[in-house]
Amino acid sequence: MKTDELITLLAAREGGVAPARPLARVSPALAAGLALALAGTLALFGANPDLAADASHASFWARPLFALALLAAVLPPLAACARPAARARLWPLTLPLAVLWLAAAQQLMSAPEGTRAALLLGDSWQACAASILLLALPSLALMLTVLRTMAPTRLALAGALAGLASGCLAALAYSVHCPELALPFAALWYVLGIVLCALSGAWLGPRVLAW
Amino acid sequence: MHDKEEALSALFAAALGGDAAAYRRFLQLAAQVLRAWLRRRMAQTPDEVEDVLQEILLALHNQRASHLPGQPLGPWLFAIARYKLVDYWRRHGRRAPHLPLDDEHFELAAAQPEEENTAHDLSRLLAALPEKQREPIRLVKLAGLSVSEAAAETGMSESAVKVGIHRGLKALAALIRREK
Repeated sequence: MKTDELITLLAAREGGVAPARPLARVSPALAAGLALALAGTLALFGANPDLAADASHASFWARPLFALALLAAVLPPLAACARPAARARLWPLTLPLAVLWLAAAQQLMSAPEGTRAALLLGDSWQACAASILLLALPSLALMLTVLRTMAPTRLALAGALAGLASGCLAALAYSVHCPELALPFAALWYVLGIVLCALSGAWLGPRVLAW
Repeated sequence: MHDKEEALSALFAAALGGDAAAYRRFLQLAAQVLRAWLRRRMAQTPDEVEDVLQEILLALHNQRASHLPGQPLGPWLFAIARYKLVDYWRRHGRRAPHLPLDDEHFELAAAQPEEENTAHDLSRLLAALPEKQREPIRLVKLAGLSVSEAAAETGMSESAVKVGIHRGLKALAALIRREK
């Protein structure tokens, strides 16, 4: 076809269009992703039998609060990635990480010698990161599906941020099951799980988001 | 140079507000700017310039909602152009050379003696679409019916007609991507 033919087609009877709002489009995927991660946690791992008792400790809330803070930091650059040429500010992501690691380091260093390994490894370190990745997959799939309908031009970054967001939701859900209250444990294994989700997203992005 | 960017911005803003004539002028001016931009970067393959240009125009159309009013138009336009050009090169097995980010040039292409026909045949592409997309596009975009007239003609609801056009043009872009 000739370009003018295409232009005529595109412009014909063309009404206006409302500007896209990426966060509005992504929010249902986030909500559904969290619901699926929670359902997955209960179905695959079961809730922590001591949940009520643990929740009365302040340190229980470190993990969900960290996940929420990281999620809040990821949403603006994720929304930016859904548009061509919008600037994605990544530095706020370092803040929740810095706070968690500093607090974990402090807890580790102030602990008596023999207990440090236990603070880091807990009883369930083998399962933690992999479980978070598993729980994040449905939400990652949903987010990538939504991003595909928009106009990302930085596909690996968009995928990585979608992965990071999914990882935060999974970490939130996993806190319902996980009995490990030590900050060093979370600083290592939860963060690893979330990082694995981000890497999965970064790998999938260029393969799945192209338009 | 900047007066063309301003002209494009003004036309685009009018187009988003529903002015179809302004939108047509926007696409024509954008095509001239992008043709020149592409010719500089596709010096080895000038006969492919028009194909890539058509893909970029379709992309600009399908994603016109992704431009935030008030933001400069140039970065948005050239981000999409760059993305589509690199995608085109990758699909054809060519190593994409590094495209500098500050390469927005609003010069117009020299007038062409006769416009070239690309390998993408519009009627063949439309025929490959499902009926719920093909008929709304044919009636509204080609035959010039209004959305409500097309809805009456097809028995579809007005929103189904609009959705059919929207999805059909995205499907058209995907078909073109898959063709070569």
